[in-house]
Amino acid sequence: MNTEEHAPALELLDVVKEYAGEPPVRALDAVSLRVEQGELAALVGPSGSGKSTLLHIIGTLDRPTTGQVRIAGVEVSHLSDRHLSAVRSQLIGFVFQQFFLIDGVSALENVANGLLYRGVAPSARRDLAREALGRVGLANRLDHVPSKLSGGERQRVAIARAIVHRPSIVLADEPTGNLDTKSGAGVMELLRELHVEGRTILVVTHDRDLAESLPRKISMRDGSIESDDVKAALT
Amino acid sequence: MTSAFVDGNDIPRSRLRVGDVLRVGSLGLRTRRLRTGLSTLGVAIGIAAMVGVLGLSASSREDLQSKIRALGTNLLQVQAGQGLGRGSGTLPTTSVGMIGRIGPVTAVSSIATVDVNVRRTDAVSDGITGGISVFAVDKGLLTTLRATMLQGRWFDDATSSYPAVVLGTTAAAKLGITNIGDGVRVYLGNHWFSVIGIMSPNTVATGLDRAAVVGVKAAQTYLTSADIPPETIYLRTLDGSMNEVRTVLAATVNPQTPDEVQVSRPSDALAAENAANNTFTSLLLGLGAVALLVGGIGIANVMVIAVIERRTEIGLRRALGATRAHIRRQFLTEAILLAGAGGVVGVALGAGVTAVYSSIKHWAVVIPPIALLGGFVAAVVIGGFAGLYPAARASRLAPTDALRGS
Repeated sequence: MNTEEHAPALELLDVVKEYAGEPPVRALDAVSLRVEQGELAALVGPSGSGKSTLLHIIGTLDRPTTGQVRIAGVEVSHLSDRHLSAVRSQLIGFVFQQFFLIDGVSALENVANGLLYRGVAPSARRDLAREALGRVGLANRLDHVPSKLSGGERQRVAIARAIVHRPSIVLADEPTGNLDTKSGAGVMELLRELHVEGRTILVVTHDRDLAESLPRKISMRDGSIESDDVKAALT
Repeated sequence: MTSAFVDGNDIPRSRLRVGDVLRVGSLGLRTRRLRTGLSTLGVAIGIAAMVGVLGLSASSREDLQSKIRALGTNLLQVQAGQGLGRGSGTLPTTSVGMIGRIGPVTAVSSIATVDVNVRRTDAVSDGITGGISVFAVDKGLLTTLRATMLQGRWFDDATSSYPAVVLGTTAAAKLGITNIGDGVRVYLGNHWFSVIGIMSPNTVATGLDRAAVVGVKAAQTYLTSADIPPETIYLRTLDGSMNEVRTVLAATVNPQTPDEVQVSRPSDALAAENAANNTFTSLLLGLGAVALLVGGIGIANVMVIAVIERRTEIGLRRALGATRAHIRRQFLTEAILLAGAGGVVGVALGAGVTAVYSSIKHWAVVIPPIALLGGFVAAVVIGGFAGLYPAARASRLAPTDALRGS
């Protein structure tokens, strides 16, 4: 890929997001942030703090009003919708609270969908999907449809889908929010393992305990970054 | 190096393979079978109606045309004028001879009624006619009409002067005669006549179907002493001369009062029937088109619902890198596949209906290829139009809104 080898996985410079209205609502107020490759960080904050908006902008699902956003050195803040789609297909992996697996389609096909919009041939997609499902411990669930899987298994399928195309950054939005404590712990353990393997993961959560357990905790309040703690011991 | 960055425009574009468009477009159909079946049925009924109408009208037209071909367009029919002040109902006895002298006439034959009854045996009261007429004909009639025999033989030189009779199909059935084995006889007037044949149903002289037919000489010998003036004359002309013959016929038959002679061409009646069918076909085709339109609206409706239900799927696909065009293509493909499946089912159904109904009517099964192809293409086009709006709506959904779910 054409991205910079040593560029940060994520770099935000004075990012502002305003929603039209009287008066305009400023959801993000000059946010600057840098996440290096290989980091596992938590983005934490109460609802309304702007973390969802920030997640959307980092995920290139939305554009900032002003400021710069670089994913793996790629400047994305002024790209067209079509080019943003390309950035998502190449550089970003999403994990959602509600899993968002496609019903009636096997786990293998759901994971292979992570490569669908890159024009990868179906057989190659399945090979990579099988490998990714093996990595998340679901080698024996390839042909199961989502309704036949437990919540924890579904989220593992979703994580496999998020890593199958080897993105520069994985964005996990409340990945344990719909899971019981045990499954949630399992999912977090998996994310930690992936981090150890060198993947860059940003976990968005309102769960302060979960955030504390990660090597870096970025706290948001009222559209700004309130604190940014890196625990030297854990990194 | 750290200040350098890659222009986002250089990132490889999102790309969806053609095979994957079909796979993704058929996903909704595979996972929602009942809904797929029902909305497919809506289009199928419309297409089946149109294909069926076209197939049936083509089959019936083909049947009429083959009748016209068998009949020939050079056959003319001459009858005495009917109604008040229109004459006696019979033609001058000299008619056949006079017509035969017109140059381009190649054959001429006549039919005349003999006022006697037909009975199965002499034990049946002579008041019971069974609605069967007795006609005296010349032996050339079968050829002139291009009629055929179902059983037995037509008259030859000998049998046209013997007490021999040929029955029409209806007449034979009424008399209970199904097989003209040796010695089957019927009682005509006061004589026994041998049944020598049964005619196939007639296209033109349908009166023959309900008649017992004897030779003119036999009629004069056994049934009546009076003259037997012809009532209907059939003649064939050379192919190019039909109109010339037609103009001089009335005056030839009855030079004093040509007004009392009616000349017609039997194939014209069939052609008129054909034209009437065409009008009816247009009407039914219009109804079929309405059914198809309703089917198309059904598909549009189902697709709009699908787009609303599948918001999060749309959001997910956008997150995975799908462009708006990819989403649009997915839902458009789904609508077209839905309607196309309806088209295939409808074409098969329409062709089946045509085949079954035509066989019942003993028509040759004719299904115009253009109806089959047109039916399928119409379905696909309807599907395309039905899918346009839902697909555009799906593609315009902002990914952030779509991912927020319901």
